[in-house]
Amino acid sequence: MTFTTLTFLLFLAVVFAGYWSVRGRVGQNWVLLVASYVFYGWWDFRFCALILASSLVDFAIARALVRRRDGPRAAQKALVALSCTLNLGVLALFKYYGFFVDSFAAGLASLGLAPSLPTLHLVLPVGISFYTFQTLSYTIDVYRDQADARSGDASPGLASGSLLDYLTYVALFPQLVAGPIERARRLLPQLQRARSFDEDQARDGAKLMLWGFAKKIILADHLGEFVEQVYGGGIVHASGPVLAVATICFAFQIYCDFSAYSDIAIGCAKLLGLSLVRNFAYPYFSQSVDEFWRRWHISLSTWFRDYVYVPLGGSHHGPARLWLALMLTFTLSGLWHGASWTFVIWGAVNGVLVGLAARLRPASSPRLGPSDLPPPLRGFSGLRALARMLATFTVICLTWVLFRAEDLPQAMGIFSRMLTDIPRPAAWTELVHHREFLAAFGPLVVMLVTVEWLTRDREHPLGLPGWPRPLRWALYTGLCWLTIYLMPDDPGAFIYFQF
Amino acid sequence: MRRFVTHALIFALIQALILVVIWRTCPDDPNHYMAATIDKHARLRAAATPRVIFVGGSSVGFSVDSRAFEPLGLEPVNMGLNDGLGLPFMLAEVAGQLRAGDVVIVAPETHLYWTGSQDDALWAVMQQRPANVACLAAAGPRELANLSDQGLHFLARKLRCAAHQITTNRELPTIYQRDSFDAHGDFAAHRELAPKREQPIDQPWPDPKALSFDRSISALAQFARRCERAGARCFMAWCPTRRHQLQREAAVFAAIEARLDAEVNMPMLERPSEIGFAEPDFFDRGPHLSGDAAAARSARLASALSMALGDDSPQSRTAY
Repeated sequence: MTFTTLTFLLFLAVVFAGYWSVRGRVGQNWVLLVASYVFYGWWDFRFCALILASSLVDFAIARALVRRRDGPRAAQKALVALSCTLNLGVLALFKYYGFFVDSFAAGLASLGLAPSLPTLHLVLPVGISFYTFQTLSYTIDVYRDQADARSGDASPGLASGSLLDYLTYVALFPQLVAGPIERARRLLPQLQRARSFDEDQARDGAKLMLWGFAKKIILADHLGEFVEQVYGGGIVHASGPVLAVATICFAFQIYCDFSAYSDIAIGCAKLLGLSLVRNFAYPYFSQSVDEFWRRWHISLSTWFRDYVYVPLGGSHHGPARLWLALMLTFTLSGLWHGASWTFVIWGAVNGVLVGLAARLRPASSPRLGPSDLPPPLRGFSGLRALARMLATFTVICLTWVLFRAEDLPQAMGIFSRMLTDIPRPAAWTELVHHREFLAAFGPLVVMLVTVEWLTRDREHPLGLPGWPRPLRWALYTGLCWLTIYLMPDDPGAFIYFQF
Repeated sequence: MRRFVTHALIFALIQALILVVIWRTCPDDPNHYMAATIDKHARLRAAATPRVIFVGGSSVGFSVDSRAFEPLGLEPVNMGLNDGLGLPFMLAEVAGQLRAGDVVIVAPETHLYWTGSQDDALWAVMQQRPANVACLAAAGPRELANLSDQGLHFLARKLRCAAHQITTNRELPTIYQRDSFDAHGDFAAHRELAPKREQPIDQPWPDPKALSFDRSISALAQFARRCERAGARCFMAWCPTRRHQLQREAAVFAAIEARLDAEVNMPMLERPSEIGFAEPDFFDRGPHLSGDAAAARSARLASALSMALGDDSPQSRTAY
């Protein structure tokens, strides 16, 4: 079930009514669990079996970890290794098998061999990358809890939940298919107690959902149509300036698309009295690439930080180890996004850029994180900050070429065409063919950036504190109908569904 | 909680009022092409038994001339309207209305063997005839789910239509409308017109190995059993196809034909090799035969049907 459908709105109304009409943790979690499996089974009911199996395996492993807390450390490590193998094995089978087989075959072919390797035609279950990471982190966190409890540092709280609570945590429908990737430590305690209705939270959730719908439908879907025109087909047919504009459009498409999904998910959870982790914190106002990665897809970045980067040594074992950890983390993050060499290289390039940005940052420049407001642009330092923002945005846009291109030759062709065409005035005339699109959606993108900048001290711009209710409702109504009016006939699915 | 729900309901009520205004600004066109579904269903119910019922999309509406079947002693009912309705819906429209002695000829557009319905077509027939929701439900829960999934897009189109009505009141001259269908349900307005010279819709089909016909073959097999239980006889026919396309897609046709022969208990009145037509035989860019070609093809089909019915045909029964 996709958020931007009438079915989802009806479904949410039914779930909302059912959820708040039952009392107590168990009743509420049963409503959430059934709703989540209906939501997921809407795509294909067979997917439900996979997520159930994946959840049960990790629950059983977590229980085994608790039972063997005082047993040998090696046995506990073996259980965690089993969880990693099973989870990553499922992911590898569904998502990466074809990629690795094709790459292996291509490698052998380059040596003059023509191997006949077995192929599988498997449907990639929606959201598998997200919930696999969620179940995997649960087992690792339980293991860490047990280790801490053994050394007397913490109580073994995570694994004490019931199966119902745990299944609800893994399958919770707002964040099931495209995040935010929730940690058990944060979400599970919320599911382990009865929720009571909070009117302010629910209001804010509804507004956040409206903001998400507007970003997805008004901007992401329409920008996506233009980007597809330019990037589609896997060939480079447009001029450099058109490619550059399309790349900028893709930067906003993917931001509006993915942050919209997160907004709707977080808003939806708020309606149900739950709090999900923030996933985007105005990433395009970042002044360096490393800051960008602290503001973009925060739940994934922190997942990789905690379960890959830090265990690999992080920044505590000298520069060589840091670079190794950084490159491995970002390359794996790239691979997580898709089974293609463009994603792998995209990840690696970002690893290099983050490493360089961290090294080159002046000591006087603050290290801004997701909870820090992008600072105001005043005076000469404001100009410098603006220049850094634009430079970071430009670099990020260039990396998006790798992300969006259908293959490496197309990405290389786009870079080459942009390099050769942009200085040629004649090449710019091709933009005239897209003037209607640019005239309609260019100002909307500028408006989005302006609104987000002015309201960057809030989670979303629709809070409107101090506005009289009639005015607020008029704005919400207008935004609602503008969103419906601009809904394309052939709506694009959320980009991150494919991951 | 009560305050939140009250405010949410008031907000929803405001949106509902706006929706009413939009609906009134963009009223349903009683002569809309899809409004022909009303007449077709009325005829399906009113026509005396035995009937010959044609099932398919617009290719059936345009390319069947029911007059050729009247000599067989059967009351023609042409249900062909739009291929976007999908095969399960088309079959469900008829399945609930079968009577003993009826003859059903199913001639879906060939792509319907592997594609589903289109939401805009389904929403349009629901809007024109809300009772069609029963056919949709009979076609399966997936059809209902798809329709619901696309509800906002239907609303979006309605809103854009309202905006268009406000800014311009220009009517486009077209023959694609309800009153272009005759009493049998055939699309008849094009019969006396010269064919349009339009570039045909001609996209190569995927390799048959990449296509799944399971759902449509299963629906047809189930429909055949339903006909048998109702005492009706059903036959298969094919969608008129441009010759070059027939040659190019021979593998797809062969794959479908083999599955139909093996799994569906419906004799074929014509084979794919017989449905190739030259470009001038088509009226427009779709699989719509011109008047003369439709008459010739229908005469051939009627003859094949007569032979298939043999001594059981109502005509021979009345002769006795």
